[in-house]
Amino acid sequence: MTNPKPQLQAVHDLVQRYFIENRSRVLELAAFLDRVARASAGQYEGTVNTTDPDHRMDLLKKSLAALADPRPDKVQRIQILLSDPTEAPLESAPLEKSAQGVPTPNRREMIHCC
Amino acid sequence: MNYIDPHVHMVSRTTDDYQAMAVAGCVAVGEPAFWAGFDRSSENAFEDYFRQLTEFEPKRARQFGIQHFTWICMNPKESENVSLSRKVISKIRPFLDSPNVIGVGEIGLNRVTQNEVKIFEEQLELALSFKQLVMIHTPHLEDKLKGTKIILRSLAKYPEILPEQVLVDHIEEHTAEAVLGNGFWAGMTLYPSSKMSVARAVDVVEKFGPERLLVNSGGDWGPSDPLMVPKFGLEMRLRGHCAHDIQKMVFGNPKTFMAQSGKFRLSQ
Repeated sequence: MTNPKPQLQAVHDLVQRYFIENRSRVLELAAFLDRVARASAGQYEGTVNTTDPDHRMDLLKKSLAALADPRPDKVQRIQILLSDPTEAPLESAPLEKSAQGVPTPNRREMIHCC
Repeated sequence: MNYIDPHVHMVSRTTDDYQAMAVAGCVAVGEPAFWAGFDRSSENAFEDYFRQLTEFEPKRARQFGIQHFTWICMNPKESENVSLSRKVISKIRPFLDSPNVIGVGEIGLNRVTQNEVKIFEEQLELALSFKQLVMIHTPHLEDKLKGTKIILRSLAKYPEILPEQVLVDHIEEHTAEAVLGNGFWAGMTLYPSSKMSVARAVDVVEKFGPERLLVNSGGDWGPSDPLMVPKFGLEMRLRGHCAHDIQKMVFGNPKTFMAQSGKFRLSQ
């Protein structure tokens, strides 16, 4: 069975279709990073000036670097970067009932840079 | 274009959503058993929920011409409690005879613990012993890759499992190949602003082809949209895919999979 080959495959057509929404996503990311920087500098009431790294932001920044990598399959590589690399089931359930978006730091140490 | 949503938790949706889905072309839904948003207090609470899935939801759906099918199980989010899980599992058998129950699901893993694996495998055995279709929940976010690998290892322990009768759901780019490569059906749950998007789901179809791929709207407790399946169809159309392939993805494939249960018969 061959993969379906839609007619809309020209690069120009794809960029035309998806550029504006992805431009918006880049700006949302930039705004989020600025917001975190302001909070870290104590500019929001109730926040504390801190340089303590948040491991989630560390992985987010690595993911952004992966976007700039010219190799293909960016989504797959970033998915793996954000995944728990361990192989065995946990002996007991973690405190959080829901996943958090990135593996916890002790499991992350096993990650090799993509 | 008529469509089937094979995985949507209608208990979390208002009746207006049934109407909107019917207007958009939905003719049937599949609703697996899942977490209530809190941990239920006893096996009796699960029994009441199973009655809601087998008695009330089909009536609510029928008002708008939608056929409601369901799956019964102990869900992964509450499977850490082995004692309660086994009491719930002991209550499942009578519900398998309900006219709209087409299988055991959505079983699987949540945070990927040893207890969750134990209960997952016990329910696989239940499904096998009563010749039921199986729907599997793969964990979300950072747990998905690890959880999917462990699920596939568990499935491999049972050579009598027919892969074409198993749907491994919530797949994403990094788990699709392993699921499809092992002969299982692969479901993509589409979200408006988190996890898998419509555009990325069409990318997966373009990479792997439409065989054994399904899409669904999930309708779980996070922000979700019960119209994600027709929106997926629109995205395929805007990318230039032909009507035949779109129809296959939103209607033909779910029908093929679900019809393996002799109870899934569409009235239109």
